[in-house]
Amino acid sequence: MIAKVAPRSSSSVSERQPVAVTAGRPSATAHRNCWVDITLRGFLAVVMVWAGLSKIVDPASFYGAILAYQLPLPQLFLKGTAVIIPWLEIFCGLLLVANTARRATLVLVLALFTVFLAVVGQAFFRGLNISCGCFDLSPFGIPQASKLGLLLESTGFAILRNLGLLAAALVLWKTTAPVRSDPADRSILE
Amino acid sequence: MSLLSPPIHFRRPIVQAGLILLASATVGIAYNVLNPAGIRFRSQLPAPPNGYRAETISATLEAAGGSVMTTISNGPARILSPSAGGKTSGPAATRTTWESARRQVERGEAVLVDSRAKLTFEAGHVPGAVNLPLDQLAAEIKQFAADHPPVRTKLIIYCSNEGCPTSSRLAALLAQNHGYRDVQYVSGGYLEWLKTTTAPESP
Repeated sequence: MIAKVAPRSSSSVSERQPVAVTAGRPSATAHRNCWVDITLRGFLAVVMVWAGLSKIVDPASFYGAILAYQLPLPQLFLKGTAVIIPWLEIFCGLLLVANTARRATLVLVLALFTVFLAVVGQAFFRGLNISCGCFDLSPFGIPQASKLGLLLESTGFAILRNLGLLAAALVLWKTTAPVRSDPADRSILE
Repeated sequence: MSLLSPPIHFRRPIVQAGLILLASATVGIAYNVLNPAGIRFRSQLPAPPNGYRAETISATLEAAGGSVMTTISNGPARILSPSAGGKTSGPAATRTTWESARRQVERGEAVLVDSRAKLTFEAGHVPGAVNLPLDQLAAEIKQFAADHPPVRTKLIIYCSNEGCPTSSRLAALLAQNHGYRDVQYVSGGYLEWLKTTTAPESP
């Protein structure tokens, strides 16, 4: 009697990074890609969770930092943003670590970094001398008012940092296996 | 293929992204409602007088005695410039407790400064405190420094709660960049003050 083999689940195929296999074993390139993937995901996750926790600790300060950007948006929208964004950062960070719902998480991460870049960029080019309100540096023993603290929280540095984070997220996006659109493969998408 | 009905292989990530957003909103709102130091959605800025920006309205304490004077500055809101002020090094700010802070303020020895956002300050603050919201108003810092000479004034600063960074940040800023020699901050913040008293000052 031949035992039936259950089809592989969808997430294992569509969500994870493709692994090149040579003679039944993952190739050296695949291993290298795997480590790059893990490193980038870990890095982004740490940054996002840290950023989220920094904002959750003092929501009023984060709201104050948002107001300092002088965006022409309704107060209610800005308050809602101050309430939701930190948790969105934390959830995205945790999902990156878990490597679950990878495509959806990366879409949100890319959207977040793009919005951050636009907001910080407009502040920089408008000449607003403000703290970006991104991170709490005190756990690292860096006073916010010190030269290093002011540099790390400046809008100019925030632009460079956001570009780096955006690039890291794009690398992860590019290494995510494309979703199959063939109707014959519909079962793996369920 | 309609934009409103994406192909099946795009639906799953879209639904998942929506669920992540929904979860973030749910947890964020719940946390904010339960958090005494959370953002208050009902508090609104008072309507600014004609020709003035709401952000530039500041309440300053005229002297350590306690009479409150409201000053309104004209023109566009200016942003706090940490590099402004000349001095780049100065005495470090020190941490203090509410017990000590209360004693010093009652004796008229120190001025209490609230470093939280203006809206939060207006929703409730320690009686007699002056609002200097960090990252927002350079004009207030200058006005404050004019009203309270750095050489003679002792400052005690607080923000929202134990973990908030703005009180220590503002304390360091005032000490290093504006020449205040005796600057302290209460690490427990407004939340700790609420726990030690039952009658917060109304806006």
